[in-house]
Amino acid sequence: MKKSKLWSGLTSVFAVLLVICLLGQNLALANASYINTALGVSSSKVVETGETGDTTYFKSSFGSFDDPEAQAALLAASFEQNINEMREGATLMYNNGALPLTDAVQVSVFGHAAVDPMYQGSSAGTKVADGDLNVINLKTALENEGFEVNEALWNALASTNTTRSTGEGGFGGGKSVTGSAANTEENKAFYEGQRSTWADGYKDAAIVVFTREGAEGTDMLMQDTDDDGVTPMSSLALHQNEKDLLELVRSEFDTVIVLLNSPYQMEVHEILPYCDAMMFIGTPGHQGFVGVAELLRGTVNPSGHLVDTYATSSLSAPATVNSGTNTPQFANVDEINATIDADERAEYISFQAENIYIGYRYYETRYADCVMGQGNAADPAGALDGAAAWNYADEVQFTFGHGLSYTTFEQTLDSVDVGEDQITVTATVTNTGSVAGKSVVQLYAQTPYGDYEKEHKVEKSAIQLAGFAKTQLLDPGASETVTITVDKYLLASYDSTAHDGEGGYILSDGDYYLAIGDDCHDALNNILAAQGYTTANGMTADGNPDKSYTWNQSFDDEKYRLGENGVTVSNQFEDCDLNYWIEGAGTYLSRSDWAGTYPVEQTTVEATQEMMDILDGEWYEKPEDAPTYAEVAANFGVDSGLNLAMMKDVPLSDRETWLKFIYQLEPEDLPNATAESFESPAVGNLSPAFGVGDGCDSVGGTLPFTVEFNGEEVNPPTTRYCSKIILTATFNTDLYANRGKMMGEDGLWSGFMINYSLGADLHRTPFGGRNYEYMSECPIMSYLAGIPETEAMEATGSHMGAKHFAGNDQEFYRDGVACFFTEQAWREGNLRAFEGAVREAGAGGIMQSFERLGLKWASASKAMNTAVLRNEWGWNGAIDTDAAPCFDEYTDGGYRNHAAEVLDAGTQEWCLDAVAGHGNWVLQKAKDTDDGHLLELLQEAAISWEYAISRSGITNGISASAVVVHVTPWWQTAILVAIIASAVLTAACFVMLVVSKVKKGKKA
Amino acid sequence: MKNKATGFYFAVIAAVLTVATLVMTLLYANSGGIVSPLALAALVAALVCEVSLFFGERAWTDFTGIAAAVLLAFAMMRVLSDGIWNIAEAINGIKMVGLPELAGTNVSMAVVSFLAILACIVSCFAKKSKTN
Repeated sequence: MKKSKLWSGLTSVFAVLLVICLLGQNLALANASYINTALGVSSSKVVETGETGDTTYFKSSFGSFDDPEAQAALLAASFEQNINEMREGATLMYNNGALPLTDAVQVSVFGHAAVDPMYQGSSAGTKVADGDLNVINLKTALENEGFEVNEALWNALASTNTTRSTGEGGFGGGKSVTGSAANTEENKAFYEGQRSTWADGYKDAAIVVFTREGAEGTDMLMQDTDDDGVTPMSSLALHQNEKDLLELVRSEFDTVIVLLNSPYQMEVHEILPYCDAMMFIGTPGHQGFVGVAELLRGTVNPSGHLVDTYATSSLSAPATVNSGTNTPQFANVDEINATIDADERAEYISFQAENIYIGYRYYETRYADCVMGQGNAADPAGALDGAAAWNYADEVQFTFGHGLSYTTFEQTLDSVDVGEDQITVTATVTNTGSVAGKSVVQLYAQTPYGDYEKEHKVEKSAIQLAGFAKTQLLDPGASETVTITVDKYLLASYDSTAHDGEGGYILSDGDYYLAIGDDCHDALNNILAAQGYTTANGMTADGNPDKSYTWNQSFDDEKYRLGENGVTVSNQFEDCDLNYWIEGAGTYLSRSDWAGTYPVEQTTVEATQEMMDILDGEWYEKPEDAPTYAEVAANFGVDSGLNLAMMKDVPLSDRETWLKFIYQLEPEDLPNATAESFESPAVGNLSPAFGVGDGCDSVGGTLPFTVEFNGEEVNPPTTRYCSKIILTATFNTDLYANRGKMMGEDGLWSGFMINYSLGADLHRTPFGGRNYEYMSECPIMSYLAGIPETEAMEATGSHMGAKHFAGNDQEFYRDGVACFFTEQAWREGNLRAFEGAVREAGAGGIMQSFERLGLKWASASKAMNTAVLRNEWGWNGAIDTDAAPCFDEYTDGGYRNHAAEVLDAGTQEWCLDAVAGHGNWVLQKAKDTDDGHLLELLQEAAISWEYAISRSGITNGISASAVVVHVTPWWQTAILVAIIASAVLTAACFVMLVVSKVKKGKKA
Repeated sequence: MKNKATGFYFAVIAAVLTVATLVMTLLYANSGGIVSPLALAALVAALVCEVSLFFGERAWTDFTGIAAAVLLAFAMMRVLSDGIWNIAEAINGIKMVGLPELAGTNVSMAVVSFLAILACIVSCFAKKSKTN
C-alpha cells in the first residue's frame, strides 16, 4: 500500500471518529439527564464544611437505607401492598355460584392474555414481564393456591406469535401498541387443536383471560375491525376469535370463569351467556396475580367495586361522539396550518358536548328522568341501534359501585347529621352470609334540579357519589358501624350565571337526598323510592326509602363565594366555551331536553382569524409597568449565608427570607430552576441535582441496593403496583394511603424529589389510552381517593405530583387538541377530580397535560395555573409542563414552546428539559427586551422549585454548613478525551498525507 | 473498467449506499420525520465527493474520499440526533413528543449511512485506478 493511501485511510478513520465524538458529545450533553440516571452518577455533590449531626431529616419507616433488613422489608411491604390491592380491588362482576373454586384442582387457562397479560400500561414507571425479577405470573399464582394448570395448553399459548403490538415485539424490545383488538386472540383452529390437552383432565374449570391494550399516545380504537380485518366494530366489543373461544369452552367445560385484564370497559354482555363468573382484575403489576388466584380459590373474599360504568355499547356515551379516535378536525384545518404553522398542532377540536354527563352521571340521570318523565329522556336519541326508546336496562350492564362477594351483607342507614359545613352519616353493616368478608358502604347524593337550574343551565346528575367507608373483615353474623363525613362543598354546583354573570358555586334551593346502596343505581332507586316512584314508573327495581335521607336547603350563592385567602371564585373559563367564539356553534347535553341536546353528530367549526391568533400561542407582552432587567438583576449575587438545610422550615409566607435565599444566585442560574427531568440539574450552589419519579403505579427506576437474581447481583426495580383503577376499586382509604406511603418510600430510597404519580384525569370514555393510570369516571371518587394517597406520600419526603392536570382524557392527538367545555363541567369534573389531592392534601407538585383549554395550551392557561390553582385554591406547589424537551437548541414557536406565555401563565418548570432550554430562552428574552418582569417570573419559579426541594428528602445529608458543588461526570471527561485524541490523530494523519503527496509530487 | 482498482468499487458502493440513505431520508421527511437541512446537504455533498472518485486516481481523490466519509458521519449523527425521541419512545412503547413509528427508519438510515462510511474509508485506503 502506498503511504499516501495509508495516511488517507487513517485520516478518514480518525476524522470520522472526530465527527462522531463531536456530534455525539452534543447529543450526550443534551441527554445528560438520562445518561447520568442510567449510570447512577450525578452532576453535583454536597460537600460538608463543618459539623453535621443527624441530617437524615426524612427517614424511611423501614430503617436505615444501608441496612439489608430494611431493604428486604421495603420490598416485602411493597409486594404486600401490590397483592392487597388486587385482593380488595378485583371486582366480582357476575357469579352464578361457580366461584369460589373451592374444590377445583385441575384447570385449563385460555386466552392469549393469560400468557401475555397486560401487566401494566405502556407509559412511565417500571415495566415488568414474565420471567422478570419478582414477577409472579398467573400460572405460578394458581399453582401456589393448589391448582394444577394445563401445562400443554399454557405452553402452546406461550409459543404463538400473537401480539397486541405492531411488529414482532416492537422495535428495540419495546411495544408499539395499536389500540386494536383484531387478531389479538388465538383463532378457533388453534384451540380446537388443543382439545387433547384437556381430554383426560384439567376440566375442573376453564379460566379465560381477555384483555385490551392501549398506551400512552394510543387510545383504544372506537372504529376497529373484527378479526377478519373488514367488519367494523368497537375495539371494546368481543371479536370473533374471542367469541369462538367462549363457545368452545362453554361446550366443553362445566365451569367457565372469565378474567378481565382490561382497564377499558369491554362490552361484557357478549361474554355473560358463556361464563359462570366474571371478574375485573385490571392490570396486576409485579404480583397482583397472587391476589387473583386467592380470590378464585376463595382464600380471600372479593370486596372490590367498579369505579366505571360498563355500558352495553361502548359507544353509547355522549362523550364518544367528539373524543378519542372520533375527534374531528377543525373544518378549515388547511387554512389553520397555512396561517399559523403546523408546529402549533392546532388541527383537532374536541367539543365536550356531554357537559357534566360522563359515565354513570349520564346513564343514571337519564334513567331517573325516564322514571320521572322529565326532559324527553326516553327519546331514542342516543339509544342502542334500532331501539324505539332509551331504556336503562338495555343500555347498562354493570354500573358504578357494583361488586359481588362470596357472602351477603345487610346495610342500614342509622343517622344523618346535616351540619353547617359537613354532613355526618353513620351506617351499620352486618354479614348475613356464611363466610367472612368486607363490605363497602357507598353513600350517594342527589341535589335539586328545578326551575332555577333549568333557566340558568346548571346541570345536575341525578346521583353522585358523596362518600364511602369500608368495613374491617366481618365474620358471619358480625356487625360494624361506619361513619362517613361529607363536605357540603361537594354538593354545590358551579353556576356561571351567578352573581350577575360573575359566576360562582351555589347550593340549589330544594330537597336534598342522601342514600346508601349496593351501587349508584341501587342508591338512586332508594332515592326515587323516597320520592314515591316504583317499578310502575319504569324503575328497574323497587327501592328502599329507609336507606335514604332528605332535608331542605334554601338557595345559597354566598357559602362558597370565596376561595382560599379571601379570593373570589368567579368565571375563568368562559373562552373555553365554543359558543364564546362562534355563537350557536355547539350544543351541550342538558337533562332539560335529552332529545334535543344528545349529540348525534360531530361538532366542528372553522376557526376564525381571531381564534387562530390565539392558537398561534404568541401573546406575551411586556407589562407597561415592568421594571428594567437591570433593576431586578441588581438584587442577585448577594451571599446571605443561607443554604438549603436552613430553608427547610422557613414558610413561604416569610418572603423576605426566601428572597434572600434566591438572591444568592446569579440570574444565569435561574433557568436551571425551570428544568425538570430524570436528573434535574443543580440550581447554582443552592440545591443539588436530583431525580424524579414518574408513573402512576410505579415511580420507575431501580432501588439503591442489590439482590441476587439468576446468579447475579442486580438492583431491583421499584415495584409496579396494580393499575390505579384496581387501587381505586378497593374503596379502602387505608390501601390508598399505603399506596402513597409505599410509592413515597420508593421515591425516597431512589432519591426522587417528587413522583408524578397521582393520575386523576377522568375516564371520559372507556377508550382513553391511559385510563389504566387514572382513577375513575367519577370526579368525586378521584377527589376522595386522591387525598389519603397524597397525604401519605407527602409524609415520606418524596412529593406527590398529580398528573396530568387537567383534562388529559384522550391520547389521540392529545398534543394540541383544542377542548371546549362549559365552566361547570370543567370545574365539577376535571378540576374537582384533582382538587382533593392538590388543594386538600397539598400535593407538592403537578404535571400538566398536553391539550388546549379552549384555544390555549393547558400550560399557558393563566386561568387554570394562576387564577384557580394559585389564587382560588391557595396552592403553592411546583407546576410542571408535560413533556417539553429542548434538545440542543430552543426553537421559538411550536405549541410546546412559547416559553414567555407559559411562564407568565404560572407554569414554572418544563418537563424533560434538563438543559433548561426554555428557561434560558426566557432569560435571554428578558435581557434582549430589558424586561425585568420576565426575570421576576424566573425568580418566582426558583422560589417554588427550591421550596419543594426544601420539603423533600433531597435535604437528607445536607447540614447547615454544607455547600453544593458542581462536578463533571466521568463520561463527559471520557468524551472530551476521545475528541482531543481523535482531533490530534486526524491532524497528524492529515499532515502526513499532505507530506507524502508533496514528496510524491517531487518524485514525479 | 479495466483500469479500475479496489478503491473505485468501494467508492461506487459508498455512492449507492449514500443514494439509498438520501432516498430513505426524503421518505422519512415526507412521513413527518424531522430532517435537518444540514444533514441533507451533507448527504448530497458526500455523494458529489464519492462521484469524484469514479474518475480514477487524481490529485484530489484522497481529500474528496476523506470529505465524503466525514460528511456521511455528520449526516448519520444528525439523523440519530434528530430521531432520538422516536427511538426512545419506540423502546419504551409510548408516543409522547416523537414519532416512534419512524424509529425503525431512523435506525435503518443510520445503519445504511454507517455502511457507506465504512465503504468510503476502505476506498480511502485503496487506489481508485491501477494506473494514475
